[in-house]
This record gives sequence, structure tokens and C-alpha cells, in this order.
Amino acid sequence: MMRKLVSTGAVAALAMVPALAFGEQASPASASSAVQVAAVTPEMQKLIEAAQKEGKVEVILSGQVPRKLREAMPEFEKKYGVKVNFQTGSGRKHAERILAERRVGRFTIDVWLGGANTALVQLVPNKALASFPELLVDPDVKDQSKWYKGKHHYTDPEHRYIFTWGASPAYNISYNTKMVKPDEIKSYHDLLNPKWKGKIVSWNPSAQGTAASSVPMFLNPKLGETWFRRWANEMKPVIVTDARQAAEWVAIGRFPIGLFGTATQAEVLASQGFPVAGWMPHPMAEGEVLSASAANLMAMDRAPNPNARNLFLNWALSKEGQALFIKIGEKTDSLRRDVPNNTIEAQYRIDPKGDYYVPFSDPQYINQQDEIIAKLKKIMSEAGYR
Amino acid sequence: MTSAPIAAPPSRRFQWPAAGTFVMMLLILFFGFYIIYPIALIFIQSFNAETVVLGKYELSLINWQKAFTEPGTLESLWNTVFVYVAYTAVAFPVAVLISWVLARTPIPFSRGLEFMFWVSFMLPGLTTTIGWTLLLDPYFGFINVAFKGLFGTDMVLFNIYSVEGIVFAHLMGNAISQKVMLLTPAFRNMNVALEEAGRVSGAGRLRTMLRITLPVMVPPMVVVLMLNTVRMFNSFEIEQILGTPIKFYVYSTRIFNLVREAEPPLYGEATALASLTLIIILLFIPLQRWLLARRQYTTISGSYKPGLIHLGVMQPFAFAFVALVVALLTVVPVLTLLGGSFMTRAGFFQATPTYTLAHWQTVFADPIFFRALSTTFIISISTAVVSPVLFSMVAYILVRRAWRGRAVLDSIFWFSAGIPGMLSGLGLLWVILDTPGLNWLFGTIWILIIVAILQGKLTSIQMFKSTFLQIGQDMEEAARTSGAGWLYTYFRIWLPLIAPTLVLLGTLNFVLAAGATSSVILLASRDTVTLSLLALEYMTTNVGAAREVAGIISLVIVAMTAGIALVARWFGFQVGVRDRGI
Repeated sequence: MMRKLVSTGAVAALAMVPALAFGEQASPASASSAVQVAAVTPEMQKLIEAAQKEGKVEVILSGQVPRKLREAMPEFEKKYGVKVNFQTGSGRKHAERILAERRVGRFTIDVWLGGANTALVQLVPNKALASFPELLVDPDVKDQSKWYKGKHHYTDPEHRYIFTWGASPAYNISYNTKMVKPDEIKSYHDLLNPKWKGKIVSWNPSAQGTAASSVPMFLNPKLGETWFRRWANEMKPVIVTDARQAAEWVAIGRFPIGLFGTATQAEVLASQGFPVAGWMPHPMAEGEVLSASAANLMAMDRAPNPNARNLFLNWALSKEGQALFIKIGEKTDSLRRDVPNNTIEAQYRIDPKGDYYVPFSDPQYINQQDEIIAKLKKIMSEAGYR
Repeated sequence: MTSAPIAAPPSRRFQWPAAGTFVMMLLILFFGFYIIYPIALIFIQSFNAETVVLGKYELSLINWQKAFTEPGTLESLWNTVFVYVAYTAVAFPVAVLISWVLARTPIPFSRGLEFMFWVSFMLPGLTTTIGWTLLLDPYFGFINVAFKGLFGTDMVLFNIYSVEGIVFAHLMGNAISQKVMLLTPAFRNMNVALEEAGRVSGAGRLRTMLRITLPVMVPPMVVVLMLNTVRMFNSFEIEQILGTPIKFYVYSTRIFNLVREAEPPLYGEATALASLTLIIILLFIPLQRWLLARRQYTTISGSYKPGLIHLGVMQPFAFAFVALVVALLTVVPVLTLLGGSFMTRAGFFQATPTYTLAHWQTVFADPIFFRALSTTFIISISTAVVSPVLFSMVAYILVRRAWRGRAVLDSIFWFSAGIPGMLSGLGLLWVILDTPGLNWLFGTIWILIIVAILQGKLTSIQMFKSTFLQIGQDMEEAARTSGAGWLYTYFRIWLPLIAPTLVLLGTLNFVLAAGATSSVILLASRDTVTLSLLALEYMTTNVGAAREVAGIISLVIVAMTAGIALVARWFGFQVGVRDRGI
């Protein structure tokens, strides 16, 4: 009890600073609501007060980038005086538990930040997500012209449940810089050159973790099923289940090329002085793809703290929230185009002039993903890989 | 003439069942509910064609059909059995030999060496495998590189990415150490008088061991072998790291992929595949009962005499052999774990900088770490204290009491091994949430304590049973005849005799509780995250230093369990029976 009062008082004290700067008066009521926020619309103000009465928001942070966003949660608490109780860990684990809880009438989560796969396959069919557009209150957030291609992006068939807030160019190829010249690989078809036979290490392209890379390639008319069949059967790649293992093998020169799933680990190895690169310094001839990875935001249906949930969503998609997310996440750019992205490295920035395929906005990608993964699995299985 | 009085008809008053029947009923109901009910739910769900939307049920055999018609199923099953037989064929006789040497001969530092097998058991299997890949990778492994340089050849001494490498990794993991842990206390219970009788009759040490010691040790050896066999389909990490690159697939990896990789998790197909274990169990239960009912295995009686056997000129060789095995089982993984925690990238000296304290800083700065540490400690200590007492009493009932229902209860425990933790955890989640009066447990530390205590039921009960089989009834009868009640007899007669087993299983269950993941992952809440779940989260997060951070958390778990094990062993030796050399 004492600790709660002390922390509440500290939050209240911190929140007085913007109030003094802008001359706004805090809303009355409980000690946790004595927090000053900048000028907002009456609707937002009402939402803030209601959220402060609830006092907390339950958030799941699932995935590499969302996990890092733990560091962003105190900013929300400081700004609004609403405590963020977050849980990290596997999306599958959380989905299983949440669905089991909901079956018996327990609703414990407000917001989900994470990958789209689990949400698409488990949460949406079980009606566990709330329709998103109606929850946006802040006019600044509702203004779709500020977003990439002038619209909000939803990665579900009905375009209303899984809001994709961030993306970055997808890099599928990592390579040993002492063994491969980037000019040797300007097209994915260059990977079918017999000189690379047996020299490529990769995740299985039918594994769920590679869908964001392999499915767009499958749908690309310049690549498609033919390319995958040739790659699996002619190039005899070595398939592993551990991305770190694959990237290390590329870094020490056991394999000159890594594909599917090796880029992130390769970048870390590069930063540790190994002769490896996690991306090609030029776009591939078949075109570039934007990958959302786990940069999705979802509102849980029948949330225990619905107002705090809505406030969190509006804050997360605000310019301030997005700037914080990409700065802390480091590996994803915001799809909100008025957010400065000089806080992230160049290879993660969305080029305003870039011509990207945007899978998470393509109905074909969303609706056919399972079918394509099944086809990829069959191709790999026929080539002897399980 | 008067007729003989007619006897009164027998009374038709209701007679209460004997106390033993009540106790058995309660035990069967309790353990049946906890073990069989979740398994039944999982099995019922495996016949549901609907895998996504909860609440819908469409009776179908589709999951079973898909599971067994998937290409490569038979091949992966054969691979699993082959690898298991290969490493057990080596590990079992080696473990028996080492257990005999440690328990029955006065080799120097026998207690310390035995403890090192416990440490080997505590070390994470993945770390051991990775450590050996750093030495035996055909391209950059230190040993192979040195071999090539020394002999100027391109040939490798040993390629760990091979079937032989997989078998080797199992041997260097838990295959030997777990058996030594379980068998050494059993060998220590050997009555030296039996061996003396053999020697007096002219048998040499080897013949005595083969004709007297080993046959008497059949109960614990059979139990250890069976416990390992029913868990054959649980091992997948080694095969995943070493087997996948060479297209060597095993059955358990398929189950793992269906549960952990598929989206949504395909529990129905995984259950179908896992059901093979139940078939093995159905064969084992009657086999075990037949084997143990064939003869007496008493070694500890009123005339029990503990003792050691001197090996003469073979003594130093025996010590060297055990010490070598200990070194192989502990040095590499400990160096990998400890040394790797201070390296930017464990095992890679080319990284810049090579050494760093950043991983340790990450661990101690993680806001969840200290909470997870205290949660793990509470759960593990509770398990270590409660589980051996509880299961020793259950085992006593199964062995020493002629109450009805023992076969049913014993079978229930065996069935608990029929489904891997990653499946039974889901069944338990459903049971806890769906049962009125139980769902308050959800999200609390209490359910984790209950799961952790009951996690070690099969191994604990079977090991206690084999221990009780070694102990003669004469001492208990003498105590009872003298007027001692059951509790007094338990503490004054049984406890000193089973103290080593109590300590062993208390420590073993402490280790299992501290490392539990599959069985608790769905039941843990934000406030009850354990160290092993935190380590798992780091391991499965695809960021650069996560494995090193997970390794440090594993190191903390090992340090905690080793510390407790040392204390427990000291306590056990204080209250247990002492041995002396002959």
C-alpha cells in the first residue's frame, strides 16, 4: 500500500512538469489522476479521465521488437498516470492461455503488441479481438493521410482487427563478405547458379517464422513456385532450425550464403566484427518487400480496462508514441510518415521513393498465406526436408 | 427331543470399508483426477477436426490420419528408436559399472565424484550439445582443427553432425549421469554379507558382481531402464541441433514442431503421435510386475551389514575411469556455460570485443529476474521437502500394504509418462479453469507448486518402490511387535534406511522443479514467472546475445540446485546408514 502511494506520488510529481509548462489544470478525482497532459480534444480528455479511473492497462508484448518496447511503457505511465502491466513471451503461449480463460468467462488482457500470425490464426477466428477503427479517438491518429500510402494498414481479411504500425525493408540474404561479392547476387535467380550448390544454409521457408519473407517471394510472378522447386531440388541447401547457428556458419565461412531467417543474427555478428553482412547493399531485381514482422497492435475484445486500452492505442499510434517505438525498437520504421526516422539505422528506414510490395495490405497475401505455406512444405518435403 | 439351536442369520448391518480401502480410494481419485483427467481431455480433443475455433466439436479421425500418414513418420520413428537403443546400450552398462564402483568400492573422493554426476544432470542439455559442437564441428571445432593441423590432413577426428554425433551428445548429456544418480544409492543398499558369501565360496570379484550383486539389483535397474524408455519420445533438442542439418529427423521433433512451431498448434496430431508412448507403457506395466514378483530382492534386513569391496590393483584404474567420465560430462558444459557468459559470443574468440560483462548486466538489470529467482526458490524448496515424503508413503502403500487398488494406482502413475509435458500442460490448464473450486488457483504460485511436486511422481514412486523391495520386513515387524506405531516406525526404522533415496529424490525433484518449462508455461502468470521460463524466453527471442543471457540464468539455476544438493546430501549422510570397507 505504502509503495503504491509513493509511486503514485512520484508519477504525479513528474506529470506536474508539463502542466507547469503549458499552464493546463489537471483533472480532479483520485490521486492517480492528478497528471497533467497537453491540450487535447474534449473526447480525448474524457477518455483520459476514464482511463485514469481504471488505473491500469494489461498489455502483451510478444516478439523481438515488442519485447524491447518494455522500455517505452514507463513513458505512457508518466504521461497519463495509468499503470502498464505488461507480459512478454511467446505469442502462442499467451494465445492458448487467453483463449482458455475466455472460454470460462475470464478476460484479463487489454492490448496485444506482436506478430500477426498468431492473431490471424487463433485470436480473430475466436472473436477475441475488438474492431479497431472505432477505438481511435485522437483526430491526429485518425488522419489516415499521415500514414504510408495514405491509409491505415490492417493485416486481416476484414481490415479491422490487426493494425500494422511499423515495417522495414525485408532482407532475406546474408553473406560472408570475404567469400561473396554483392555484385554476384543481384537477383534471386543468381542463387540458382550451380556454383552455390550445397553452399547455402537456411531456415525452412515453410516454417512460420519465415512466412513474411517466403510467401511474398512465392506470390512474386518473377519467382513463384518454380523458383522454390529449383532452389530446394537443385541447390541442395542445408536447412537448420536455429537461425543463430545458420548465421554463425555464414560468419565463419562454412557457408558463403545464408537465406531466410539469417539476416537479424548476421547483423549482430557483423557488429561483433565478423565478416558477414545481413543485407545486400542493393535492391534485388525482383523488387523489394516491406516486412511488418511483429509491429502490429491489437485491441482485445471485452477488455477488463476498456478506456485504458483505448487510451493506450491512441497514444501508441500518436506521433510521440511512434517516435518512441521506433527509437526503442531500433529495427522497424513507422508506417506513420510524419515521424522522423533518423533514430534508426538506414537499412531499416522506408525509402519514400521506394517501390515496395506491401504484403500486409495485399488480400492475396493475407488470405492465401496458409495455403502457400502448405505448398512450400510440400515442396520441401518432396526434396527430402522435414 | 430337542433340536440343535439354529444359528442366527448373519447380520445385515452396513459395514464400513477398511481404512486401507478408503485411503486407496482417495489416492486413486486424487491422482486419477490430476493425471488421467487432463490426458483424457487431450485425447478427446484429438478426435476434434476443428483445430482453431474453441467450443466447436466435430468428431473425426482426421488428426490421427494426418499424423500417421505424414511422409517420414515411420522413418523418424525408426530413427528415434535407433538412437535410443544406441546410446542406452552404452550408457546403461557404463552407468551400472560406475554406480557399483562409487557405491561399493573405496575409491578416493567417491562422494565428490558422485556429486559431479548430479551436477552433470543439472546442466542444460542444450548447453552441453553446443559446447561439444564448438569442439567437434568438422570445420571449426577446436579438436578437429588441431587434429588437421597436427597431422596435415583434411580428415576430421570426429564429426558431431552425424548419427554417431547425436549418440555421443546424448551420452555426454544426461544419458549416463541420470542413471548413475538413481542407481548409486540402490547399490549402496547392498548387503555385503551376500557378496562375502560368494567370495567365501571361491568366486572372484567380477563373478560375484555378475552372479550376486547385479541380480539383486534388478528392481532399481529395471525401473531406471523403464523410466528412460517411456521418455524416449521426449528428447528433441539434440536431434534438432545436430540432426536437422543432415536431414536426420526423429519422432519427438515432429511432436515438438506440431506443438511449438505450427500455427495454430496442432495438439490433435501431436497427441496421436505421442500415444505410441502409451502403448509402450501398456507393455511395461505387466512386465514390471512380473519381473519384480518373481523373487525376493531383500538386501537390507535385521542382519544387514553395509560394506565396501577393495579392488586391489584395479582400484586406481577404476578411479581414473570414473574421473575421466566425470570430466567429459562436466568440464565441457561448465566451461561453455561459465566461460561463454563472459564472452561476447560464446565459443567465438574472433568476436570484438571477445570478452564482456554486458550479459551479466542484462540479467541483473532485468526487472523480472529477482522476482523469478524468488519464485523459483519457493517452488523448488516446497517440492524438495514435500515430494519425497509424499511419494515415499505412496510407494510404501504400493509395496507393503495388501490393499485393493494398488495395481490401478500404479498404472495411473505409469500413464502420467504417456503424454509429454507440452501436451499435458494444456490439459491441466483446461482442468484448472473448468473446475469450479479450482480455478482460483490459476495465476497463483500454488498451482505451480502443486505441478512441480507432482511432476516427479513417476520416478520418485518407482525408485522408492525399488528401495522398499530391498528392505526386509523383519525390522518393521520387530518394531511393530515392540509396540511402535506406524509414524514412529517410519521415523526410527524407515527414514535412516531410505534417507539416501529421500535426499536423492528430494534433490532430483528440486532440480526438475527449478528447470520446469513445458508443464508450467501455460499456468504461470506475470507475477509467477520462473527462472526457467525467463531463460526460455531469452532462448526463443531472435536477438544476438539472448543465448548467452539464457546461459547465465541457467548458471544461476545450477548454482542454486548445486548448493541445495550439497546441503541435502550432508543431511542425508547424517541420518543414513554408514558403510565401512572390507
